[in-house]
Formats: sequence, C-alpha cells, structure tokens
Amino acid sequence: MTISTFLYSSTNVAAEGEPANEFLKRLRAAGYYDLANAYLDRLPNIPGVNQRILSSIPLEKAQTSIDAAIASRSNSQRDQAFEKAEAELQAYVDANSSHERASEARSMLGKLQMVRAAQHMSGELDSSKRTKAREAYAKAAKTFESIQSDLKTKLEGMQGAKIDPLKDPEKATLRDQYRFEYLMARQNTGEAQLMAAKTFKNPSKDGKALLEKSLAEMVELSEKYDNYIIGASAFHKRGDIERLLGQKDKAIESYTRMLEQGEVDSLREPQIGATIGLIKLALEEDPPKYQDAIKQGEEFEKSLRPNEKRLAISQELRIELAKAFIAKSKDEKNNKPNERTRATSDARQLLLSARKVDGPHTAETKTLLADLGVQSSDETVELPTADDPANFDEAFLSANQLVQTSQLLGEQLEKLRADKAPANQIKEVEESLVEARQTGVIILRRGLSMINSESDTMQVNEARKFLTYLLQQEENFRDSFVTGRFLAQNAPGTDAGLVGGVLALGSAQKLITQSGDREAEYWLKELQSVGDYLVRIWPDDPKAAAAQDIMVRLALSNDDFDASRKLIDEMADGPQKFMLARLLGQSLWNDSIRLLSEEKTEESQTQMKAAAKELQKGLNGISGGLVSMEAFQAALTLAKIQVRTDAPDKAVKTLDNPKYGPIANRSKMDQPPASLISDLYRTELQAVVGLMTTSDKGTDKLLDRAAGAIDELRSNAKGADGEKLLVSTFVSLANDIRQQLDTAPPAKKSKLIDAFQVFLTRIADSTDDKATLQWVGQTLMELGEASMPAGKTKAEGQAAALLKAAADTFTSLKDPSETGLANRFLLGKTQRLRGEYSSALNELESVLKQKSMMLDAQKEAALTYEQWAGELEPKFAGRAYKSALSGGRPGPDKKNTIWGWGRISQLTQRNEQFRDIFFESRYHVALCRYLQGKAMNNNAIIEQSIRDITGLVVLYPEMGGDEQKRKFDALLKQIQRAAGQPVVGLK
Amino acid sequence: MFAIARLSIRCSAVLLGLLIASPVMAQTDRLYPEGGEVVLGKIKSISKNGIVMTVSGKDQTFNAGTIEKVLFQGDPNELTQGREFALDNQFDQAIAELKAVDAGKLNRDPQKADFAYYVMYCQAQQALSGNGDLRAAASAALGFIQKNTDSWHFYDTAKLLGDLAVKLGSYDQASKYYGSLRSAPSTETKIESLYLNALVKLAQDKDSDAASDLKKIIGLGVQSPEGARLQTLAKAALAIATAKQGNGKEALEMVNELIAKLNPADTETAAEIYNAQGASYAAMGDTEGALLAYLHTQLMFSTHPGPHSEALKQLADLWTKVGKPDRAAEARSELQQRYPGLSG
Repeated sequence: MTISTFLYSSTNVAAEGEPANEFLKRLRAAGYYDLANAYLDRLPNIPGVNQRILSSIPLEKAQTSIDAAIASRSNSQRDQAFEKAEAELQAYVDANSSHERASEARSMLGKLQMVRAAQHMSGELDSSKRTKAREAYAKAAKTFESIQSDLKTKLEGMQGAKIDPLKDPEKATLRDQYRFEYLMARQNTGEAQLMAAKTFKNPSKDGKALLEKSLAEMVELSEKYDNYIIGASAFHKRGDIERLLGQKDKAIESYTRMLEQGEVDSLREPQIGATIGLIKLALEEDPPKYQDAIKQGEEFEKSLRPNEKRLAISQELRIELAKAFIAKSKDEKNNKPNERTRATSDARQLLLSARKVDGPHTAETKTLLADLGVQSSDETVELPTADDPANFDEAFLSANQLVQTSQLLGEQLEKLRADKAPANQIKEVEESLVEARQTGVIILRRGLSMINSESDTMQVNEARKFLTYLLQQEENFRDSFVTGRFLAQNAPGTDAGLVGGVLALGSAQKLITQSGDREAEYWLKELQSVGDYLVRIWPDDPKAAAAQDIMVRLALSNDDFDASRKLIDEMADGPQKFMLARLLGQSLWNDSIRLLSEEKTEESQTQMKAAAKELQKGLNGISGGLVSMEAFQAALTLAKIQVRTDAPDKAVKTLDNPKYGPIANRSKMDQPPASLISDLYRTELQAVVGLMTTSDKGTDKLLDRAAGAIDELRSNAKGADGEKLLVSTFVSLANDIRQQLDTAPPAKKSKLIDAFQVFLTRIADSTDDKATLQWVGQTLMELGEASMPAGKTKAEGQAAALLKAAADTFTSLKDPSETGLANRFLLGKTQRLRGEYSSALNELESVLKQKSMMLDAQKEAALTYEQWAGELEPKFAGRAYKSALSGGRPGPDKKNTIWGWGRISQLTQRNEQFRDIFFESRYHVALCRYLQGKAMNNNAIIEQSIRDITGLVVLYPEMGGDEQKRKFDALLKQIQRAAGQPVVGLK
Repeated sequence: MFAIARLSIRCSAVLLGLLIASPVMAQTDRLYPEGGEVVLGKIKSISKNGIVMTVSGKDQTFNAGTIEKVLFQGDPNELTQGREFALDNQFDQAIAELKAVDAGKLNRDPQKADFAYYVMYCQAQQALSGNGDLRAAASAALGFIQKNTDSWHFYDTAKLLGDLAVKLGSYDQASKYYGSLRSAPSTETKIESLYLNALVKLAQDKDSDAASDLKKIIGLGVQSPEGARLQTLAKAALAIATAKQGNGKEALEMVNELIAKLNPADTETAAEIYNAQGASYAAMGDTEGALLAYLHTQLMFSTHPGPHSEALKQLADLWTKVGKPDRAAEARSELQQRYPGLSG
C-alpha cells in the first residue's frame, strides 16, 4: 500500500516564497508529525505560501495522520491515527465535493479504507476479523467505483478526444489528469476486489466471483491501457489472480509480460511482484523447481535500488527467494553438502535483511528464521534493566565498572570450564556475564546520547571504546563494527581510536566468517577500508599491526603475493612482521606445489625460492626463547624446500637450528599434531640421505641418524591406522628417493645407490617392523629397476645386487594370506627383473589365484612370459609367446589363472578408465604374435601380427596418444620389414 | 551566522576546469571573470587590486573582486584539479590533489603564489567548518599575506583572516581585517566589508551600532545581483539585531517580507533568513515558531557550516525547552559529528 506517497506526487514545490510543501515533507520524513500539524495550523499566517496548499490543509493533516500511523510502533496508536485520518478525509470529501482536489481526497479515502481492511487481516485471524476486513474492502471498492463514475461523467462532459492541446492546453492537462485518476480508480477497484477475495480461507473457491470480477478489471486495464503506467503494471495483479484461480500458464504469461515492460522506475514495484509470482509458481511444482526460482529472483534481489530495499514488496521477494534457497538446502540428492550449507546461509541472510524492516511479513520471517535456528531479537531473553544514568559522567563510571566486571567474569568462566565445574555453576556465571555486558551496552548508549559540549572528549571516546568492546563480546558484530569504525575515524591519532579500529576489524572478520557469499564480499571491502585507514593513520603503532596482519592475510587469500610482501616490508621490525613473513613463505610454498602439480616446473621453482627467502627472513627475525608451533612449521617447510633444491646440508642445519629448528627443539613443542611429526622425520630422513650422497664424511653417524628418524616415524604411527599411515609414508618416501635417482647425474646416481644400499640394509637389519621392511624391499626394487640400462630386461651388476637384496627382503616377509598380496606381487616383479621367471610366475600365480582381477599382476605375469620367451631357444620360445598371448597356469576350472595379453586387452577395451592398459596390451599382443611367428618361422602368424596393428588403427586412429602411436609405428615397420612387405608403418 | 559572502555554487567549474586542463592553447594564461567568459592572454602584471592581461595585443584590467580564478600556462594537473575542488568547496579532495603538486617544478612566481594561496585557503576553510586548527590556519593566512602583498588574492585572504578572527573571538582583529576590504577596488567587496563588520558588532552584542551599519547597506542603490544578495543578507542580520533588542514582532515582519520573496536555490541566504526568523520567534517567546524556523535550516538548507551549526545549537536548546530530550540529543550529536570544532 503506497498511500504515503500518493498525495506528494500530485503537488509541486512553490518556486519562490515559503517552501511549505517541501518543508512538510521533510518534517514528516523526520518523524516530527506533531510539528507538521502545528506548522499546518500556522500556514495561513505565513507569507508566500502557495494557495493550493492553503486550500487543502485538512487533506495535508490527513496525510500527516496516515504517515504517523504507518510509522507508529504501537497497534493502538496506529489504529487511532488511521481512524483520525479517515474521519478527516471523510469530512473533507463531504464538505468539498467540487474542490479541485476532491477526487484525489476520495482516492486517498479509498486507499485508507484498504489499509484499515488490511489491519483486520493482520495477526491471528478468525471469521469475525475476516468478515470485517471483507466489509472494509467492499467499502473501499465502492469508494473507488464512485470515483470512476464521477470521472467518467466529467470526461464524457469534456468530450476529451476533441480537445486540442495546442489550442487549449489547460483543458488538455485537466483531461489528462482525469484520465489518470480514472485509470487509477479502476486499478484500485480491482485491487480492492482481489483483496476482498483473499479474506476467504480458500480464495479460489469461496472468493471466486470476486476474483473473476477483479481479473476482468485487470485484463481490461492491461490490454487496453498498456501504454499507460497503470495499464502496464496491471499485468502483475492479473498474474496474481490467474495464479490464485489455478490458471498457471496464463499467470506465467502475465508475469512475463510484466517483466518485459522495460526499465521504467514506476514499473519496478509491479515487476518485483511479478518476480515473486514466478518464484511462487516454481516452488509450487512437485518437486519444487527451486533452481528456476533462485535464477528468477536472485538477480532481481541483488539489483534492488537503495530506495527499494525497505519496501514491503522487496521483503516479500526476499522471503520467497529465501524459501527457494531453503528448498535447495533440503535437497540432499542433488546438492553437495557445501552447496546446501551455502544455500542455508543465503536464505538466512535474506531473511535477516527482511527482518530489519517492519511490516506484515515480520511473523513469517521470524518463523522461517527460527526454523533455520536463528532466534528473533524480539524474542531473546528480556534485556536487563538499568537505572537511567543522570549524565554522561555517571554512565561512564558505571560502564567502566561493568567492563571490569565482565572481564573478571570472563576469566572466572574460563577457569570453571577448564576445571570442568558443574554445568549449573557455569551457566550461572554465563548469565551474569551476559547481563553485565548487556547492562553495559544500555548504559553506554544512554550515556552517549547525553554528551554535550562540556563532555570530556577523551572520556567520550573511552566510552565508545567500551561500547565497541561490549558489543563485540555480545557477538553483535555489526553494531560493534559500526561503533568501532566511527571511533577510529573520529579520534584519529588517539589510543581509543586505534583500539576502536582494531575491534572493528575483529568484528568484520567474524562477520565474514559468518556470512554467506552474498554478504561476505561486502564485509571484505569494509574490512579493507578500515584496515587501510588504520595503517595510514597509525603507521608505526604496534596495535595497528593487527590491521596489517589482516590486510596481509586478505592479500594472501587472494594469492596476491606481491601486495602482501609490500605490506610486510612496510611494517616496522617486530614479531608480527616476521610472523607474517613466515606466513607469506608458507603460502608461496603451497603455490609452488600447486604449480608443480600443473607441471609448471619453472614457475614452481621460482615460487619455491621466493618461499625460502621469506621463510628464512621470518625465522631469522625470531627473538626471545619462546617459539610458536607456527614457527617450527615454517622451519620445517624451509627444510623441505632445501631438500628439494638440492641443499640437504642447509636442510639439516635448519632442522638443527638451536633457536627455531624443529628437531633441535622437538622436546619444546607443545602437543604437535601427528601429521607434523611424520612430516618432520620424513624430511629429516630425506635430508640425511641427501647429505650422505653429497658427502663421504660421517656416513656412520648419518646412518644412525636415519635409523633414529625411522624409529620416530614408526613410533608415531601407532593405533589402528598407524600401520597404514606408516606404509603410506614409506611408500611416498620411496617414490621421492626414486625421483632423486631419476634426476641424478650418472656419477652421483651410482653413489646414491651405494649409499642407499648401505642405508637400507642397515634399516632392514635393525627392525622387524613389516611396514619398514616392505618399504626397504620396495626401495631396493625401485633402485634396482632404475639402475638397469634402457632396453635391458634382465638385471646385471649393481642392479642385480639391489634386486637380490629386495627379493630377500620380500621373501622374509612372505605371507600366504590376502594381507600378503602386495608383498608377493612385488616379489614376483623383482624375480622377473632378476630373470627368475619361473619363480616370478609362481608368486604372481599365487596372487592371481586370490585376486584374479588384479590388473597389475596380470600385466606382470604376461610380461614375465614374454620376457622369458625372449631368452628361450626358438623351439620353446614359440610356446612361451603363446602363453604370453593367451595365458597359462590353468586353475581347477580349467581356465587360465594368468590371462595373457589377449584377454587383458579384451577386458580393458570397453572401459575408458583402462584405456592406457588396453593400448599397452594390444601392443604386446602384436609384439608377442610377431615374435612367436618369427620363432616358429610362421609367416601367417607374422602377417596376423600386422593385422593386429592395422585393425586397431581403423578403430582407434589416435592409437592412445602420440607416444603409443610412435611405438606401434616402429613395431609395424619392423614387422613389415621382417615380412618382406613395403615398410610404410601407420602412414 | 557569519556568511561566506562569496557565491559558492560552482559545481560546473570543476568539470570545465578538468576539460580544459590540457594545453590546447600554447603560450597563454586563462582568466575566468565571475560569471563571464574565459579570457585568454598573457598576464602582464598582478597586484592586490587585480590583474592586467594582454589580450590580442591590448591590455585589459580585471578587478580582484571580479575574478573567479586564473589558470596559468604550465600548471601541473594536480594544481588545476586542486584549485577546482577548492572552488567547489570540496576541501578534502582539494588538499589531496594539492599535496601531490611538486612545488619545485612551479617556475613562475604568480603560479607559486596561487598554489600557496589554495593550500592556505583549504586549510582555513576546514578550520572554519570546525575540522581544523583555527590558530594554525590564521597563522598560515597571515604568512601568505605577508609574503604575497601583491597577490590578487589579497582581499580574499583579508576576509579569511577576519572570519578566522571571529571564530577565535578576536573581534578587534576581525574588524581590522574586514575593514581592510574597504580599500578593495570592487564595490561589492566594499559593501561586504560593511556587512561583515556589522556582523562582528552583532557578535559583540553592539546591536544598535550593528543595526545602524546594516541600515546603511540596505539603503544603498546597488546594481549587481551580488550587491542585492548582500542587501538581503543585511536585512536578515538587521532582523536579528532588532530581535536582540527585544523587538521580536518587528523583526518577524522584516523576515517574513524576505520569506515572501525567498529564493530556495540560494541555500545560504535562505538558511540565514530562517535563522533570523528563529531569533525573532524566540524573542517573542514563541518556542514552537522558533523550532519550526530553525528546522527549515536543519532539514532544508544544511549545506553551509555557519548557519547550519547555529541552527543545530539553537535546536538543541529549544528541544530541551519543549521537553524532547531525545531530539535535543540528536541535534547535539549531529553538531558534534559534523562540526567538532564548532560544537563548543
């Protein structure tokens, strides 16, 4: 209902003289209704007042009463004000039926009757209230109908169509005004009928006749007068009525036509209404189409203009949109947990925004919020009462005491919690604490409203500081932020200002963590603005470092490393600066790992170096004896980087640094997380091994140290998942060592392997721990395989020695149960690499009997046959290649336990996940067939091997990628050459 | 109550200044007369009475009170923008721009003086609106005037010194500075001198002397809009003097005459008139009338620190009188927040 602006739109501000109209508006807007009435009483005696306003003082008084009613917080006062306004208007209409503003007054009366009817429809409804409301709407409809007939007569009398605006501009203006008012009256009649229908419990059934009447009015308005604002906006109500009558498609069409009317200010409200209608329709579907509803409503809600944000219809939009988000949050099937959490947060945000505005939506908003676990502030425990302070000084003194009390209570509470005191005791202190804070807030607010020119500025600022603090403690972060920022900006350079700013930052941070995406963005900007301000105003104050801290973290959260480095560099030397440098170093390290995973090696190296620099800077700055866990973590990261950048000596020094080294200070760490300890000893192990390979000195000592690290790793891996964790740590270490070996120059490689052999044997000798031994075996095997020259299938020399040691280790761990599968598989592989094919096949067969689908073991077994065949004399080789192709070792069901390449390729062909294995196995199929034909001197088989490849290329022209394609091409050319065919390859 | 008598609505000047800041016309300075078209030429001489400019080979003289601003050839961008912001009463932005000017690169004396003037002017205006140190501003203004006795800003600076002295309660000094404006070449500045001195007398409760001076202004035959505006302001001040002498009704009649012809676009004059109306009602013991009058200034014409802060002070007392302490607190709070230095 927009009657408050109805009168204003039709009167203009006088160009010269007393600006009565404008001043009245301002008085009403400021809520000075008493003075507005007093001013109206004085108007006849004020010079220069426009005659038009003088002649409609009763009308203006009625408008003031209406505004007062709308602004009133008490129902009885509101009712009284409306009643007064209705009486004033009725009197005016009766006494001035021919006044130029009479129809305007009548229209106001009708609208007021609508408001009065709406009042009957608020709160708990019973049939008597419904009937009263319906009667009031009927009264309103009658008023609007009387306006219609009055204006119709006037317009007919004017013969409006014949008026020429050029010849008779005044008459034309009057005609236009009458037309406007006539359309308005029609719209209002329709609206009154619609509202009357809605007074029934079931409008579509009991109010059908009224709805149809109203619809007829809206259809005519929207179809005949859609080039007028009133006509165009009728699409909204038309859609609403169609929706109520169950005419869904028609409703969608009307709403859509409403939204298509274009960006016109006056059409915004009906367009919001149409959006609400579309959301409702989407949510009425089964299951509710909440995504459509969100898509429809979210954009509109975000684009609400400042003047629209407090409109009742905007709150309705927020509520309906919130319902759509709630529906999303409940749909577990189609949404991930974080998406559902975000949807709940967005719903909460919308409802909280709606709750800030009073109106008919309040009750529903509270209910929805309560469902989301948010209690309305109106319903929270009654605020403690506080005696009104006599003046500001008294308020300040009381508040000062209360702040101290609340601090004491806070400490007491902490102690009680730590001592696990009885729940009722804790609750009692909690309640006292809340009460102390709330009383403090009340007293400070009252006190601050009493400051005057004689109040001591410093004390006023102190009071604001207390208020900011108490509000923050009360978790009223919004108010705390606003108060703190105000204080910072109004008391620049003072300690109170700085504390206010720092508290504001803390509150903003809380708000960011509590908000959904929609609001967090806003608070981030606010936080940044306050942060910038604090740093600018208090550049050298240590407390302002809190602002820099947040700014740096903010920059880091956006991966803006340069900005955060600049901010850190600008800080004065001190613990905060060095801590932030370490934080930057950690972030750079994380970034370098990300880059590495994206195979951006060079960029990763650059970030790693930058990380090391910052970490070193941050660690060097540590002064004093107490070092935080964060600093130990930073030192560990630095050591990791040093290991990776080939500086194990530096890594060891970092770990052993007396001030911050995590190994040197291991006993000082307060309850370090298990993951950190694993990481720490793993790094130590890597560093020590690295050192062993770069220096010949102190090998024995280093070996002892490595064994110590392994013991620590093992002792840290206790509990149910301990073994698993330990194995995964060792496996991961083995991979790291393998990586070092892959990139090591030949001279170093050999040295590295020697050192490892000594090292691994030493470890194996010193433990019975299966996980450690498994790791030792795997590392030996990896080393053995890595030290075999390319193209060789059977190990010799150093590689053979390593593989033998591996085989011995695996053999000592052999376990025939399924737990030993991985060990036997590795033993099988090791035996193949050693050329012990029969033994290898025995191990692999034992694995496959227990788990035939273990593809790695199937591949390994086929490869064993294939490589074994390569070493047999031709007369036996043919059969061996056949086994590589078609499998062997039949089980009790006569089916081969080892599948061979052919079956592997068949079973992997249809599954995209195994595409690489499929091409690999097809390659071996062709290779084995060719070698089989060659061994058996059988051209037909050789030619079959050619078809194996050419047949494949027809189906898969890409052949599994460039590398595979090259391999196939080379093989094909080899076979073609051997078969005496033109060597064309894949072409 | 003390009006900044110079017209201050110069919003469009900012945009215009920015647009022409690029050196389209080489080897020329640009002089902007008040309300007139820009004049391009070469500055020949500058004195406290004005500027002589050679335009198309001929010398033209511009009196100090009639010049809005001068843009010198080779002005750095920051100076141009800072000057425009200052003339548009956006002092924070002006100061920010002027701070960025590299004074070492200003190579002409008038340019250096112009830069120094605007720095000093912004500081003074900030102090006058309660957001800066009045004594420091006064000392800077005095420093400027001593170093730049031939600046065409001489009289503007004298007026500023007067305004600052009033705020500091040094009425004798204020009279001296305002009095020096009588030597200015422009008639309007001479009238302004009389008006401002009358306000000083009013502040000292020399109401009868003030009224006599104000009547002299009202009796003058003036031609220019600026002169007429000064006469309106003088009438409003006369109403206050009359009210202070206990003749509220007579004062109200005078004010009501002004209101009947009120131009709501001239917000500063309107604010002064409604404040005079408030004083008249107060003198008659009509608290409600006084409230309504001062509320005009508070709710409609609050852009000028002087009259607005005065209205807020009066409202805080009046609301208390009518038993509305919450509204009184609101007025006081606004006064403290917007004009911290004027709230005492």
